[in-house]
Amino acid sequence: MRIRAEQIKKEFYRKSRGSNIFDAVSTCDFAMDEGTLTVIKGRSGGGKSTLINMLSGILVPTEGKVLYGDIDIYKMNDRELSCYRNSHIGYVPQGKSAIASLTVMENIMLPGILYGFRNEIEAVRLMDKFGISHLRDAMPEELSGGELRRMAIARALIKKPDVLFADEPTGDLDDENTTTVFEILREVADNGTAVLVVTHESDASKYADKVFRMDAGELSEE
Amino acid sequence: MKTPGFIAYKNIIKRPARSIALMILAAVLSLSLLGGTLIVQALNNGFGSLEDRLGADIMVVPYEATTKQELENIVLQGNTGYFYMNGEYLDELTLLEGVGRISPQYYLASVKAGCCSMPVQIIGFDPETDFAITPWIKKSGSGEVGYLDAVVGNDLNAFVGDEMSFFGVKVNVVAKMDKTGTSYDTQVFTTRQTIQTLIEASLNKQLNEYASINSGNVISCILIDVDDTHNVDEVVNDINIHYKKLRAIRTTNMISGISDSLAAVSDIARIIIAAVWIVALGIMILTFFMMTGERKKEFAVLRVLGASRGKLAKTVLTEGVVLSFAGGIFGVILGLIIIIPFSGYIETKMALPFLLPGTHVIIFAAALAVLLSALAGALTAGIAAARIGMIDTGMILRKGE
Repeated sequence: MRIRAEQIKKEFYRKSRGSNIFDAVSTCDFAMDEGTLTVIKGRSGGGKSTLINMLSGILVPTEGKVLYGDIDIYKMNDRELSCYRNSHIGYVPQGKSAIASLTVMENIMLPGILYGFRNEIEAVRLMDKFGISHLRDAMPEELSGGELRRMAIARALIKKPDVLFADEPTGDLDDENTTTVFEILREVADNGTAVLVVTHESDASKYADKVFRMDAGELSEE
Repeated sequence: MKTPGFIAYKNIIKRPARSIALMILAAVLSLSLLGGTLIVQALNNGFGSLEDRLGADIMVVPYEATTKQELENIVLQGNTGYFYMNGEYLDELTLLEGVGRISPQYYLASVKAGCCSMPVQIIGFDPETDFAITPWIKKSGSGEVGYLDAVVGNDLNAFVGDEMSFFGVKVNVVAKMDKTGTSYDTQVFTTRQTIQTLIEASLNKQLNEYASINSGNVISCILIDVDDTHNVDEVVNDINIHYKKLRAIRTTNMISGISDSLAAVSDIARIIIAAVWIVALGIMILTFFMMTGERKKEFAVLRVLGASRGKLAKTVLTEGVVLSFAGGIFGVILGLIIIIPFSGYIETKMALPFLLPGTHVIIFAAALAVLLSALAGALTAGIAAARIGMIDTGMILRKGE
């Protein structure tokens, strides 16, 4: 499935500067295909996360549309879009994103649990694959940053999504864990998922099929 | 388990301190509501029971009984005491204009001595004319009360079939009255003939303050019901003007002090309940607000994983309802444990007639208290849920909070 953003733009109202409205993401087009890994690099505050949020259906663009195949996702109501996100989109948020009251296993199964389905077999498979099966009953507070990130990726993949978004997935990881995460993401793309990674890691380019740069809301291909 | 239930359950279990705090707040809500309601209800019942127990428009007693406040002590406080007047007053007052029903009562206090089983107030009534005590005795399911038979108040440690001794005279307990919440509960009732025998025995044993009365011709009190065509105050005035050695008292005036106290206690109880609810609801709202603030990132994560705003709201709502329902039950149990066994103590401390309502009313009040606590939890959680519904997932994730 091809994911396209047509003429999308996001404006924010900046309270601290009077009535100034600024463009977090200036009008742009964007597309990504299944089986590819796309990287968007850029400095903090450049609009990368805003773009990924618009593409993943959690931030309504001020202008333009986001199409999954032929489906304009922002034409759906909240319930439909939530359900669509759950079935077709995987998302690895930046920072720590575990649900503190759930075990690692429950966190990974959470997308399924949200719609009444506990896919334990797939969760165990992903934990084995990402080397965290020994932590299945551990609470998130017991995990290291790298383990948490692998857990978040496993959770994003539990429902075999068409597209995976990862927002600064290696933000606070050491080199070894950073490499591991990018290798995992590459493998996910190779298995047919469209993967978009927002990062400021310079090494990310070597795993990518396409690299974009985003600065001050302007998107450009490298 | 459905999603909102599962996540709510996990949050409740994994955050015990917050969960217990919210349950305690809900328990305080239900406890205050149930406790306050039962106390006010028990006071109202006690007062109603007292009104019924007096059973007459007017009480006529010897003048000195009112100056010594003995009457109020016996009738309202349940203390022991006695006073007498000539029985011929009964015949005279019977002929008075406006007098409908009229009946005498006889008072005697047993003593704490070998001749008596226990020191209690003994009240004698005339079964042929009585309209104040007999209905209560019948209400308790007792049949005829004969010579040397006694009916005992509910709080007394005597039971049907027991034999009691007063001034060396043995009387049989033939009935035990239902709880009235008034001085009836600590008194013993006999017929006129029995109490006259007991008075005579007390005189013979020189255990009566009155050394030279004729036990066959004394009475302690005359109860009068005014007929429908006359005004009670007029009859009271008539007696007080024409009988200087007697004092006629309108019974409603006797209990007006209690009525005032009851109104004051009820008002205070209502104010306390309202204050507790306002404070507890405020804390609950604050707790849920803090909780949603702390878990903003979690809610944002749930959103990106596919939870709709409705699902998130349901999660918080479920958490609030479950905790407040459980807390409500806990508060109700605590309230029942405190109020039911200690009602006697509460009655003594308040010095007001206190009669707990029937089981069905208590169950209804308990269920209502739990329901309202759960609703309060739903309301406070609902406010938080509405706030969650407005969270900007993109903004939260963008900030990386």
